[in-house]
Amino acid sequence: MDFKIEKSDGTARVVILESRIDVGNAERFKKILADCTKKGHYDVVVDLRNVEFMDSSGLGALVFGLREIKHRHGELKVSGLSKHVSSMFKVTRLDRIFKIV
Amino acid sequence: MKRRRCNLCEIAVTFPGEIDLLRTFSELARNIVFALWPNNEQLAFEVELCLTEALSNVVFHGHKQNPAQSICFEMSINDEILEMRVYDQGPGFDFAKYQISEPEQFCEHGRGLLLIQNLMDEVEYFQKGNKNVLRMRKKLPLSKGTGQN
Repeated sequence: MDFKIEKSDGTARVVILESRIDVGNAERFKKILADCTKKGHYDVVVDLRNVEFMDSSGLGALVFGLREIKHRHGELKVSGLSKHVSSMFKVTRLDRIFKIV
Repeated sequence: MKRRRCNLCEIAVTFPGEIDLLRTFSELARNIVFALWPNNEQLAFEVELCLTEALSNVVFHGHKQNPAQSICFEMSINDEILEMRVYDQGPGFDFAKYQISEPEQFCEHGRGLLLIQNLMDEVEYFQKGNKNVLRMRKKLPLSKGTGQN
C-alpha cells in the first residue's frame, strides 16, 4: 500500500495514496497505523482524500489504529473523507468515536 | 392493469473463493449499475460495498479461505428491484443473531452485515440444496439513468 507521512508541529499526517482500502490490503493499512505508534507518533491524522472505496475491513483497521493510539493517550483523526466513505462512518456510527476533520 | 417489469440485466458467475478475485466481481457489479444509472454514484457504491462484504464473509467465515470451494454470484436487475444472490458451501451461520447485533464501538470486526442490512432494503439468508444463499434486494430509482440519492 502506497502512503506518505508528513510531519508538522508534532502531528503525523498519514496520506494514503491508494484509491481503495478493502479486504485485499486492509492488513497492510493496519500495519502502517501500528508502525506509526511504534515510531512514537501519538497525534495522527489519517488523510483519506485519495480513497474512493473502503469496506468494513478498512474501517476495522482504522478502529485498530484508534484503539492503539488511545492506549497511549494519543489522538487519531481522519480527514478527506469522500461522500461515500463518509456515509459508511454514519451507517456504522463510527462518526461517534472518530474525530473527522 | 399491473405494469410489466422490464428486465435490464441478468448475470451469474462462479469463481474460486480467492481474496484477490473479490475486487474483480465487486467492481463488475458496480460498473453494471453505474452503466444503467450513470447519475447515481451512491447506488453503484452501495452495490459494490454490499457485494464486497458478502463475498468477504464467504471467503473468510464460510469457506475459511479455501480457494477450492467456489463462490456463485448472481445479479438480476429489472426497473424496480436490484437483487444479488451470493451462494456459499460453508456450514452457514445464525443470521437472526446478526440482525440485531451491533459491534462494540472499539471492536475491529462485525460491521459487514451491519452495512449490508442498512444499505439494502431486504436481506435474507437461507439454505438452498446443499448451499447457503445470502439474498440482498434494493429498490431502484423509478427512472433509469435519472435517479439520484
